[in-house]
Amino acid sequence: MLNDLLTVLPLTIVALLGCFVLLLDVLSGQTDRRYLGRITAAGFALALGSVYLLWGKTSLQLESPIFGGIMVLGRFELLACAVLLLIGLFVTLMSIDWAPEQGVSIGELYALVCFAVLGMMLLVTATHMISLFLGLEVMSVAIYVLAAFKRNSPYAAEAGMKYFVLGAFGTGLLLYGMAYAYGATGKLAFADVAQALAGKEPTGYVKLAVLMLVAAFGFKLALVPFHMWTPDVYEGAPAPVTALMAAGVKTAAVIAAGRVFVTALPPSALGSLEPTVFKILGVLAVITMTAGNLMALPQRNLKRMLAYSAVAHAGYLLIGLMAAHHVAGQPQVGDVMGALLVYLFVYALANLAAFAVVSLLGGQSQEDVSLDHLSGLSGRHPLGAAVLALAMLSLAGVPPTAGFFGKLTLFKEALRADEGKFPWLVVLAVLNSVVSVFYYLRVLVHTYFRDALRPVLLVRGTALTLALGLLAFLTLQVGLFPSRWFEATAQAARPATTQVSTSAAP
Amino acid sequence: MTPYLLLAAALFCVGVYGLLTQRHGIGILVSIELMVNAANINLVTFAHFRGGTAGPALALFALALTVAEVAVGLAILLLLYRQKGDVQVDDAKELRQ
Amino acid sequence: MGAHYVPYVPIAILLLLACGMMAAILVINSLIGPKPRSVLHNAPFECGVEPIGSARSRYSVNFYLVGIFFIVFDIEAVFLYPWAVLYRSFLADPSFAFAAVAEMFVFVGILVVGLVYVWKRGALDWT
Repeated sequence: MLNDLLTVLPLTIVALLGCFVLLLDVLSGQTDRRYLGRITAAGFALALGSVYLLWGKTSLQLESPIFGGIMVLGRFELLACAVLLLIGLFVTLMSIDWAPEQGVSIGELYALVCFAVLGMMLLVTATHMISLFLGLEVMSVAIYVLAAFKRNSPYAAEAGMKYFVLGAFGTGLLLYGMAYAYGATGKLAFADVAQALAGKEPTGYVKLAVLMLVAAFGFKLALVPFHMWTPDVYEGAPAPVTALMAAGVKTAAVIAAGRVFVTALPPSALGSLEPTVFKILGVLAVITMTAGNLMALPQRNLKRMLAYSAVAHAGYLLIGLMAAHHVAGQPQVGDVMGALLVYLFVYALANLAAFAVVSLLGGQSQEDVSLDHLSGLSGRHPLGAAVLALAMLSLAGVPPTAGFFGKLTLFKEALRADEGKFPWLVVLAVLNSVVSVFYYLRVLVHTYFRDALRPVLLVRGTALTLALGLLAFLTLQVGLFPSRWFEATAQAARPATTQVSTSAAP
Repeated sequence: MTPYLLLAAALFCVGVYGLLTQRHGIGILVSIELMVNAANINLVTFAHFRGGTAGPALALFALALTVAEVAVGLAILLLLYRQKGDVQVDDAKELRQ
Repeated sequence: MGAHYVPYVPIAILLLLACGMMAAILVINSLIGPKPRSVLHNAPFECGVEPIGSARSRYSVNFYLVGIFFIVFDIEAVFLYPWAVLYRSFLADPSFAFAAVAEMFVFVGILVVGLVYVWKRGALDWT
């Protein structure tokens, strides 16, 4: 019990931080709330410190299931939590100077960011349907509120409503799928579900469950037939919140989907259903990345463009998920999950950087940042322009940046998973990446080679500058010394994904 | 067991249909509740006929969490209502280009 | 119709009785009740005073707020029941007894944080 409580220390810190900030806001009565942001940032840093402490603790049995098998917090999960905490830290940093410009009460912003990150951490550590559902809901409910956070903006209310309706639809599908998985096996812990299904011919219940789960994760990951909400929500939600959605929700949902399709529904559990599932996922991946990139091409609104780019990246990530699913149960799955996490980290950094620049431009409470607003940015805010350039190059996957390395690792691992099945997917993904370079580079052209068309009020502040600097540093760091990052992640992922958890949970 | 599963499936389909066709905000919230409660019926049914306590436990969590979700949905709807004086979701189309 | 449905027979009878009673009252009323026909009789009536404003006035938004809070706090109590049912079996295991009590305090503590927030934010004020 004590072991378990110590192991979840990072989650406890974030939960307490959220409650503390919430109460401090209403009890202190101070009107300038920047200090709340600073406290939250310090809290996230503290939680990151606790991750570092746990990492080195050999006395704790990190890789074993805790709380009766509902979650596990091994080294891989610690790394995923660290990524999520970093995302929370950056979102807080970019909010501190942005929020006072928006003319809305902002005390709850930081508490909600804490709760959203807490939900994400629950999601990546869940090994049981109940904890998965709990994490998903804690994350989603916090983000519904955050999306509609700018109460004076009709766009925000609309974005919140759209995200809520589609999110709740996804939740309903997920729960219905879980119910049928339970009906087929009588179990809810992932490992038990896989065990109960292994070697049997899949029944109608199993087929229904798999279909529902694929659709539910499709909504959360914004795969193409389920992506309709993405551009509207990305555009309407405030920039730091969009950053949290793009970076955080994607990371948490991909890792959780990976966990479900590796430990609960591996190929051995699906039996004769496996080829069909592979085909469905493959088609989803192809149309997701192609449609995402094609729709991003004509966008002149930076946030909408990034939304379609998020859709396209979901397609690349799905290839990684398919590879992980394909090699489930073999030691190699650690490498694939490691590659996925590295890709997610790199993608999160680039998105955080891009949205930090959007919130830099977001003075005068404007939400529609078009390419024209970017013109001449290099002259007025050199750091912002440089960070935006780095982010775009990273998203496009141009060699010296982190993005290139992320894509390379992911595609390499996908090819290694099965030489026969994946090449055509990877070829299509590479072709898509080439297409995507066009719209990412257009942002660069506007930033560096066009004169300013209209005056834009920039948000300035030390916290935002700090966030921009740190993001630039991390992107370059991963880009220049890639192998160190991948080795550490893959090594951490190996035990986590090959274990057979013994569950005592009901 | 089949009648219960059919009931749940019917409720689920009504929920999905309502969510896809309803333009009234409250109707959407009702549809969401229908979908989730269909799943809850399934969970309790499977547990009742096959034994086990995990299903009802998940149903309990689903119940409480969906209420929180719908409460937030209602709050967002109120926000939309204050801005537009209406809860027809069709009116919310500022973001379409 | 198997024996499976026998327990539902009283419910069916009750349903029929309720519907029948409702129909009977409406029919009898229209048959033997007095039927005055004048403009005054059809006008809305509020304790002998002319009605003021429309009957379809809107509720204060506070009702919705309090309603939302009530539902959320009310449904959270659902977690107390399984805990209460299993409480004695928790106590039987001495290594788990303290945790069993403490975890419910943590749960209620989180609810209290929510309540304090709602209260101090002024959402419970009626004015």
